[in-house]
Amino acid sequence: MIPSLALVVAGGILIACGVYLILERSILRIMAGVILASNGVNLLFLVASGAAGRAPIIGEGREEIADPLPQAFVLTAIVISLAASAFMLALSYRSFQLDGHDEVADDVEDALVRRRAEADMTSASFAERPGVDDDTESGGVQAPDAVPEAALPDDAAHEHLPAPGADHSDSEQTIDPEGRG
Amino acid sequence: MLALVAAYAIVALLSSVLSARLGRRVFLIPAALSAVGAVWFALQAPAVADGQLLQERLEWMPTLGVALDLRLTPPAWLLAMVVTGVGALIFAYCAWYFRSRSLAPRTVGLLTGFAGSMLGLVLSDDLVLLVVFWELTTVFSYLLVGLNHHVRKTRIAAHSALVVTTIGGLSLLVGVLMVGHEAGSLSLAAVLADAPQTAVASIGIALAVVGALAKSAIVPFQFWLPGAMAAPTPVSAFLHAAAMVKAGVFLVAVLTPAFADLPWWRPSLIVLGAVTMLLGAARALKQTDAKVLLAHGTVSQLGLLITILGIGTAQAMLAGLAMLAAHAMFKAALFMVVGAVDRTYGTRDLRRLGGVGREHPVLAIAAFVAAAAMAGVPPAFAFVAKESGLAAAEHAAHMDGLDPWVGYVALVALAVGAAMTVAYTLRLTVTVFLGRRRDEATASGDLAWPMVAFPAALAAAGLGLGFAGEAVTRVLEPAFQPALGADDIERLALWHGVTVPLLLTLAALVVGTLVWLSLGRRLRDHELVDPFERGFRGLIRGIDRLAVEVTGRTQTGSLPLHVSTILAAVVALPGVVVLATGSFIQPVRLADSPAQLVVVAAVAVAAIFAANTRGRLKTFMLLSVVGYGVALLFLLHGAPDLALTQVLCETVLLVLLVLVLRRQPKYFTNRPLKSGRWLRAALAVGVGAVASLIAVAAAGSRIDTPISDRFYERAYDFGYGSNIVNVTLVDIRAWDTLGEIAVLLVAATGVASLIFIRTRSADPRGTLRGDRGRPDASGGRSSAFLRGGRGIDAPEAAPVLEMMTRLMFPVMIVVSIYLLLVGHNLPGGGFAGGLVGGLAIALRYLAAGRDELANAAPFDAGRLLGVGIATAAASMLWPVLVGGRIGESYRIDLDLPVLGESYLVTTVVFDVGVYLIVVGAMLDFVRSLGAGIDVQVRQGVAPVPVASSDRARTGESS
Repeated sequence: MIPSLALVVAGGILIACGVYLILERSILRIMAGVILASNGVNLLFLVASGAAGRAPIIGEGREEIADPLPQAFVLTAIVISLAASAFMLALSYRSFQLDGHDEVADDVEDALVRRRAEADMTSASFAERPGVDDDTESGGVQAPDAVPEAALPDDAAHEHLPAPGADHSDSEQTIDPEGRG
Repeated sequence: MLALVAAYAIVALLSSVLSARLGRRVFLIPAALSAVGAVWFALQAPAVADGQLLQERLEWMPTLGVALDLRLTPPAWLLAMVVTGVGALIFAYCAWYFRSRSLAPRTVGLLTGFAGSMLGLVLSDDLVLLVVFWELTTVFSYLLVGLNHHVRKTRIAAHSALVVTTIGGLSLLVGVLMVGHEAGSLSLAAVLADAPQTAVASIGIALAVVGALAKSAIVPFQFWLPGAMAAPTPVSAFLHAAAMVKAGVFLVAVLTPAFADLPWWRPSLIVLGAVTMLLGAARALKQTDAKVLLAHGTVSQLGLLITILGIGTAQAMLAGLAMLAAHAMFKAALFMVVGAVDRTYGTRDLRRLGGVGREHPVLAIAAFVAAAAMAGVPPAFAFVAKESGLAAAEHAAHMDGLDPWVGYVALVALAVGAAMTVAYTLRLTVTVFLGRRRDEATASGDLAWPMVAFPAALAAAGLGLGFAGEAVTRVLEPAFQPALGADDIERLALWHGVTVPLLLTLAALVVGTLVWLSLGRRLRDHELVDPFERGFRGLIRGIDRLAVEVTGRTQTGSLPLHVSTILAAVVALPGVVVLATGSFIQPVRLADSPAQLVVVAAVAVAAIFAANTRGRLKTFMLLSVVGYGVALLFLLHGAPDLALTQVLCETVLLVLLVLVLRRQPKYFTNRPLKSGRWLRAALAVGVGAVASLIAVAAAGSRIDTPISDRFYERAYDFGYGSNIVNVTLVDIRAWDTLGEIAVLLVAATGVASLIFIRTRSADPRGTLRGDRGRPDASGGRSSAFLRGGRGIDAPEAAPVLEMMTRLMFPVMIVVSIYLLLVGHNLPGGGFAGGLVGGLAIALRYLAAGRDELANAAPFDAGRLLGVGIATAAASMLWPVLVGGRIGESYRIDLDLPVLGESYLVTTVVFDVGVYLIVVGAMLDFVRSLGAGIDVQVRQGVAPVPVASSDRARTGESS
């Protein structure tokens, strides 16, 4: 059971070209890369699955047929990469519709976190929306006659919140993940 | 007992649903359940006193030795009485405390769920079950403290409570597992009966005690409890005074007889308990919020309980358990009183209240009775219990086998603590109920009688139980019998003569009053930050900062960079392993056949050009060359099924690509970064090389008989088919296929939702009415096809294609069904058949536009997908109904009149499901990317490529 060098090389080249395209930013190029790479992987699957042979159909010689199991795997892989490609096509179209291009931008949330790290700030979950501090203790809809919470033991957490309007906080206001369209 | 716990769980689920309809009265349901539970447990008292053990056991994980094992031991009985008895009154109180308008429906469910878990916790004999219930109470506590999650302060309080008690719970779990391992059993009774004496067991017990201290708010964990007062007052009364915080005390009490002689037990518990007791009392003396004052008082009392139990004698156990029950009663009553005051006057601020007793005398009496108990005034039950605790300390000072300092330290601490308790009790009651109103703006509102009656009942119970000390002693007797000094105990009673404890109590009353007069009457606002709390907050903030730094450094947000990191790891790790082991050194031959060599050369050239070209269409044309080439390679390898599927998929993809590319600019953006390009190329070559080497290594590793070796026989014997690949798909590995068609379904739905994202209402002509474009009813239904072609614009019409479609469509449909049916024996099957069917439909669209598509497939694609997955799933499941296995196939022999003898394999139904899904997905693709985009073009919301640019005008603005 000696593998064919031609198949190995073909698989390697397809994967290399695929990876090169996957590292792009255009969704359609990434999709092209995924298609190339999955073709390459399918070929290598054949390499790893043993010698070539006759079609695995009963009636052909038992010893002459190629291994059927990897073929079943590859068959499902082909159909799934078609489905994934169709989805990426739709993504690309939608991206053009919204932005006029289909390039994957850097993640806005990640950029925010990076700026917080540079500004020595804590995560957004520690920050507070202003003006929602008066509600009933029951947590339901606020009753008109609800009493404001009496003073609780003071919490030291106030001090690490950036003061409103402090120079760090402008990063949150200028970056709006929803405002792309 | 199991039934009762289960009943709580059911009521918890149901009552939340009913909450919206019944309003605050919904609390009467769990109140009734708790009352029933309390009566049942009360009736068990004689049996418990006689040492009978009520046990219920249900196997849960027998291989791990974990069972649902509930036992009614004396301490469990006591706690169960607290949970159900005090619980019933608090639930009933809730029905008047909450306001229906502002009551969140989950409140009642959470509180009931807590009661059930707490009951389960105290009754559990299985240690793992105990931890499960323990954690459940933690979670319910978190959710109840954070009931009003809109307020930041509340969220922080809930967060602290959760983190602290969860750390404790984790410690408990590890400890329990260590002890269980050493004892060889996870049964609490077994561990106590034969206490393991190893060092590991000692560490395990220490970890369990750490968990108990965290739960019971003992220094250094005490700070979470005052914060938890952000919860509604009845919740605080139940969880943070009567029940949950007692879990730790309960655990320490239960462990005492077996482990009190561990060298660290007495010193650490007494010291931590005493520090907590004094710290809590000192803080309570400075509070101006009545509820927070009570919370610090609770911390102090928990310290008292741990101090008493830490003495570790039989007397201490009796005193500790009695004090636990007494505290539950008077503290819950006081919380309910404060809640009533809060509801009536709209404030709990001591600086604004005063003279409440004149307006609500019954409430004041209830408060004074409960407060007297807290201060240890006879004849309250708390007085009896506290006397017993002082006696335990006094006895311990003279007991053989104990260091005398144990008793003396405890005695002094208890006496000082008692005096301070008197002081803060006076501060609370005198300030609120006597004297004059401090703030005239504080107006009295209405006070519903049940809000007075329930705390009054609880206070009265605490008073009355003082006369039943002997009975309580009898019930608890079996529990403290194994502990040190059990034959010489002072039973609970009001009068033991003039003893040291009595004198100390009287002294505490006097000193406490003096302390209150000198220190406790000041109502200044104190801004004290608990140093432990400050440390905890600092720790949490530090962790958060660390997380931000780590995330900021590692997560750049650039997709190529992230993928590069992953791929670099692929090259670095498996790549180096393959190179190092040399397993890729295998004999290879140039090619299987000359034809293979030619195809490989073509594929390789096309791939390299595809990766470097800038034209969109060009890239995908080259990609098609690669795809069809790979299909040829499949065929040459002996895989006709693969080749067929690959060819069909490539064709489908080509159609879809053209449909999308028509709205996109001609060229990809040129990336200006030359150096980055070389880096990417290097990484790409590396990944390709590593993958190739691994493939060769894998080929060389095929030394065992492959699993598919027997497929040759099995395919026919079990699957009744000759095409082994198809039998593998629909029979041998049908689960895989089921998963795969589910992926297909999701992808198709995803595509449709990306295109029809908001056309539902924007479609003026109704051709795509609904999500997936059902055809317009006015178009009529006719057997003639290509009628819709008349609607296409003249420049887009393609008469030749139209002619071809007329000829091809029926042929393709027949071929697709043929492929589906022969698939079991010849190349074909549901995938190939479905793809051909889908292509036939796509052809009709291409020839004559979207109306024709609606005519060709006058049904909803989503429904087709649904029917397909249902068919496939049903065909796998039905053999179970006739006694077979899931996915089993049967052969049905048929004798058809014309075709002669034939047979049908039941798995063909599965393949039909696959077929339907593939056709449905194809229909979704063509409808979305074809007809859907057509409609958007007509509406002017489709993107328009800008000439000689790599951008497009966005569609949304127009």
